[in-house]
Amino acid sequence: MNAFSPIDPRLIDAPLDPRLLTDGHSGYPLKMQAQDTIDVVREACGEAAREFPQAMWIEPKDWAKKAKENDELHTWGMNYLDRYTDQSPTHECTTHSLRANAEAARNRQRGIIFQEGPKNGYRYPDSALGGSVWLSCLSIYAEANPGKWGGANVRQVLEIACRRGFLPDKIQPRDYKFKHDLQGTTGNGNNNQSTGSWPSVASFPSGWQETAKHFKPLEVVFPESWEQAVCMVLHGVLVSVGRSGHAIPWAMLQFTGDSLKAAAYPDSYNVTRYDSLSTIKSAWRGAFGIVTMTTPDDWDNPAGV
Amino acid sequence: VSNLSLSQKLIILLIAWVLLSGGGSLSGGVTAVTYVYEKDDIGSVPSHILVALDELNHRTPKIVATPFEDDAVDDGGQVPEQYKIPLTESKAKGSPKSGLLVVLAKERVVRSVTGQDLKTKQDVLDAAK
Repeated sequence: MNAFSPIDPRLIDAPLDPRLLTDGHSGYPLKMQAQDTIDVVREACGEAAREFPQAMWIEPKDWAKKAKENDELHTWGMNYLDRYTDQSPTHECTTHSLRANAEAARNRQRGIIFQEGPKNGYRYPDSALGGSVWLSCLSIYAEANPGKWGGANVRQVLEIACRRGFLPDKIQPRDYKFKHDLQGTTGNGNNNQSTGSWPSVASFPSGWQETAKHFKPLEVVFPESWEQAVCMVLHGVLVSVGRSGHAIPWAMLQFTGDSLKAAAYPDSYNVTRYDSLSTIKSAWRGAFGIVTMTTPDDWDNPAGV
Repeated sequence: VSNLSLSQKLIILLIAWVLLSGGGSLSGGVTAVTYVYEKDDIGSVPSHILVALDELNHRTPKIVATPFEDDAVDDGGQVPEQYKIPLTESKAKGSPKSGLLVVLAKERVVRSVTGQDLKTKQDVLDAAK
């Protein structure tokens, strides 16, 4: 991972492989994207909604300098992610983007850096050491779209997460003795994400709310320009956006010299891909970044059991 | 040693146990390092502090080294138990706008250092000794 290394142009603004999709999209069709305006999404967040803190602003002339610092010290948002997920072939993309945003925020609060970011098929020993908790995308998506197919709005998934939180995935980096958990996806999953059958909310384990309340976004920042979104990424905050029928979180930036060229994101297909600068400039509307999550009384006992 | 009374021997044994175990406030063994900050003041935690906290988290015996945004709460909407002392210390120091690094040995504050005095990663590591 380096913000100044050349990147494979085939991974920039690349359309998803049609074989990965159902009904031609991954879960964020354009009609849903059009409904997710900043005001609507901010309101869905309720008390968790925050304006962009002016202290986060970095002058564009200083972006490359800050990127170099993030490279040297491994403090990109990508460095607070310890796994990919694999949603293929479902319509769960908005919740996979949301879980990455939430997990990165939580790991940043814990203070554990994953030097190379998510790696396909790999499990960091530090995930267990640091108390990383892997969240179930399905625990949100099953309520957002009880019909399973067709996707979900950003405003829906964010509102659900802020109101009652995520359930943990059945796969965790260590045994936290959670009383309640749920399969992570009905898609492929991977060595760090469980897969399983479709659950209705009514079929969630009894009393599940007691565990989910420990994994709620507390403060969510909404950028009001693409430049503010870039500043958030430079500060290590993931910025979730929807574009081209697919929702993803920007977690790192790419430069050529001092010029911003692209934003990197952990795609929910076990791979890192990139949005070009022109996509960044058009896709920031309706974007959000989770700054803090519910914080445990003891990091070794994240659900207080 | 043979001239010591039983109670004197027990006291010596107790002191030796505390020192050898490396724990407890008597020996000053650091158990937690918290950087308390407000995002509206500094945006985010400076990178050199983040990387120092990561390094501290890999030490043996275990140190829990974390940033703490002063608005963060637990599932009950309360200040998380582990951050009550650092937050109280920060407020007692006037909630410095540059943040405050609070070093704890269990429930005892060993020292606290404002963010403006933590210019490098080594400054953080030194403060955590």
